[in-house]
Formats: sequence, structure tokens, C-alpha cells
Amino acid sequence: MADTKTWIGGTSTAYATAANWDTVTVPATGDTIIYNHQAQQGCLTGCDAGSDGHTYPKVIVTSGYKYGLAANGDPLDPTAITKLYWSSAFAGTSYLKGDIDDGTFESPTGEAGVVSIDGTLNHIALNGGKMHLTTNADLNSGDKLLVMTESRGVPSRLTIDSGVTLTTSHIVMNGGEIVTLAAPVTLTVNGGHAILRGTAAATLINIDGDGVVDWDSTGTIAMFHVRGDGLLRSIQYTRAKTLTEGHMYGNGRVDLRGKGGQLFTLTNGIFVHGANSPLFAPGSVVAVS
Amino acid sequence: MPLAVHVQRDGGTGDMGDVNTIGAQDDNVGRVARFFRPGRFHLSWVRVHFSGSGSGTATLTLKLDSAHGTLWDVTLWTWTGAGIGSADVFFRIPQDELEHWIFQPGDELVYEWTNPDAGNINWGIETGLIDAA
Repeated sequence: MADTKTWIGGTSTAYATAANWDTVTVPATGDTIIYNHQAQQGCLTGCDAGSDGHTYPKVIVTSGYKYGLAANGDPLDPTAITKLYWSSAFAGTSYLKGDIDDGTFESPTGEAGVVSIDGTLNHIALNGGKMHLTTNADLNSGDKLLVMTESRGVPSRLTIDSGVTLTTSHIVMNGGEIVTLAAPVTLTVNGGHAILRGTAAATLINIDGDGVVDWDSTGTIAMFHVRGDGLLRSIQYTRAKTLTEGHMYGNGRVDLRGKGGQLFTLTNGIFVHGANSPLFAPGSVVAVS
Repeated sequence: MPLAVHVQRDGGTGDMGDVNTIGAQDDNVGRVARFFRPGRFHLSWVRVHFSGSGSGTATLTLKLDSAHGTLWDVTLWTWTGAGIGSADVFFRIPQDELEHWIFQPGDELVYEWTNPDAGNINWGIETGLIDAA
């Protein structure tokens, strides 16, 4: 029968030891798992084997839980987590694997640690704190959104490795910072700061409000729209880049001045629709093909 | 008339930023202790709090990473003895002085501070920036 099981860590850090759970039984499929202030030590070992094959309707990590969860190479690895609420005060890195259908991540303190995730994610909200998507992760948002905000004064920070699949995703930022080596298909930045690095490309970038996108990567941007007081910059590096088409509205800004000079290959053009839309490109060469 | 101040934050347990480094083009490390606005902006105030179990102080500097290049990367302010032990930093700029603290699009403000007890001293920066007319 499905139950709620709370980690107490009474005898060791081993997930699969019954005495480490308040019901003196190891969680099974259908159980809700809670990590909270009752923990006497972290749930760090045997997490993969102990949780593999299970589906958990809820995993709740509260701010009272001050220890790591799982370890590198031994992540908490269920088949699926239907709903995840994460608010650990642990300052190090915790490791999750498997699918997460609906997750909310918050940070109770400014020094919150990193959640490293290797799995398929749907409908994830990051409200403060740090998240790291590792090489094999799949941000499979579909028509849902990854929302980035700043909560309780703690900025959200998301780092994305190059092997992460973002092919069906629409990332929406309202604040915080994303640094991605993988290519977001659609990136909407209404606030905060997105940084494309490595060879990250993008099919569509929408910038509005006071959102900022640093195009530091060498990947192609197929289309961008910069509205409000938004800013698209490409100012730090000198490798050649390709842009298919861009549009500027209102006070939206585009800054292409490379400190060392850089070459942009522009297929269709940058269209300036607003009288106050400044386009800077001194020191750069824009080639129209 | 009150001005709309944009409060930006960063924090960590290691060193703060470096005016010469924002990370390699191929890494996914975020920017540390760097602040800016999309357009022209003023610096209004600085608050830096230190906490944790560590001890020690070091010199904190606020530098400009100029959009025009390193030739213009000036040190804006220096605070000696910033760290643990009632050594927080609070610096405010009167409203009639704001015109002297104006920065251009592409400029960034960078805090440099070498943590004397890395991992044991936490730092939290709040910076108030105002969009320039």
C-alpha cells in the first residue's frame, strides 16, 4: 500500500536500510518520500539501487533538510517522480536521475547548493537556487515552460552542459541567470540574464522587459526579437558568428561591438522597427549574404 | 522624485569576480560579482555582507569593466579590511552625485575580493543600479 516515508538516517547514510526510514521500511513504488528536519544524516549511499524501478508521486525536500541527497555516481534514481518540491538548505551538490514530471526548486538561503539532474524534465520551475543539468539530461518541456525567477532575494542559476537535449523546450526566464552550452530552441527572456556559450545555437530568442542575452557562443541564431528595454549582446569574444534575421522594437538594443572585432554573417538582416532601438556594431564586420 | 532602483544580488563562498575574466567561451561557468543594466545606468549604492565560520579580511575593490576595452578599466573604489568581524561594506551615493557615477551600455561593475578563508566565509553583495535617462 502506498505510504509516506520520511528519511531519518537513524543508523547510516544508506537509502536501502529500513531503519533509516520512519516507518522502518524502504520506500517502494507509489510512496511519497520526505526529507526534512528529522534527518540525522544525509541519504547518500545505495540510492541508485535502492530507488531504481520505482515511481514516486511526490518527493519533498524541505529547508529543514541540511544534508546532501545521493552522491555523484550514485544518484537518487527512480523511474519517475511525479511531483518534486525541493528546498534543501544543503550547500553542496545533490544528484537526481530519472524523469521528473513537475518540479519546483526554491532556495531557503543565499548559499544553497546545486541540484545536479540527469533525466527527462517536464514543467520545471526554478525559484532561486542553483541547478545543473548534466550531459545526458533532457529538458523535455514540450508546451510547458521552465520558469526562472528570483525568490526571497536568492537569484536562480541554471547551468546546462553541452550534451543536454533541449530540442522540444521553450525556456522562459523572468530573472536569474542561465549559462548554456546546449542549444535552446526557443528562449524567452523577460528578465534576468541568459548566456549562450560554446557552440550553443538558438532557433528563436525573444527578449523583453529588461532581459539580457549574451551571445557568447559561435552557434547560429536563426531569429531574434528584442523589445522593451531588452538587450542582445555579443561583445566578449572574437569568433565569427551567423545570424539569419533579427528584429528590434521600442527601446530594445542590440550590441555587436566585439572588443577584439568579430565577423557576423547576416542572411536576411536586422530590422529596426523602433525609433529608439540602438544598434551598435563598431569594430565588427557585418557581412550580408 | 524617488528613482526606481534595480537591486541585483550575488553571493558565494570563494573569491569574488575578476575584471579581466568572465570565463572561457566554451565553459558554462556563470559570471561572478558582475552587475550591469541593459542601457546607461547609475550606481546608487553598495552593500556587502560577510558571514560564516571563517575569519580574516581583505581589500575589496569595485572596478569598471569598460565596454571600450581594458584601457578604460578603472578602479572606482577601494575598501580595505572587508570581511569577518564587523567589516561589512555599505556605500551610498547621494542623489546629487549620481551624474558622476554614470556608465555606458556594455559597461559592467565588478567586485574583486580574494577570500582569506575560502569555503568558510560567505559573501553576499547587493548593488543598487538606476537606469539613466
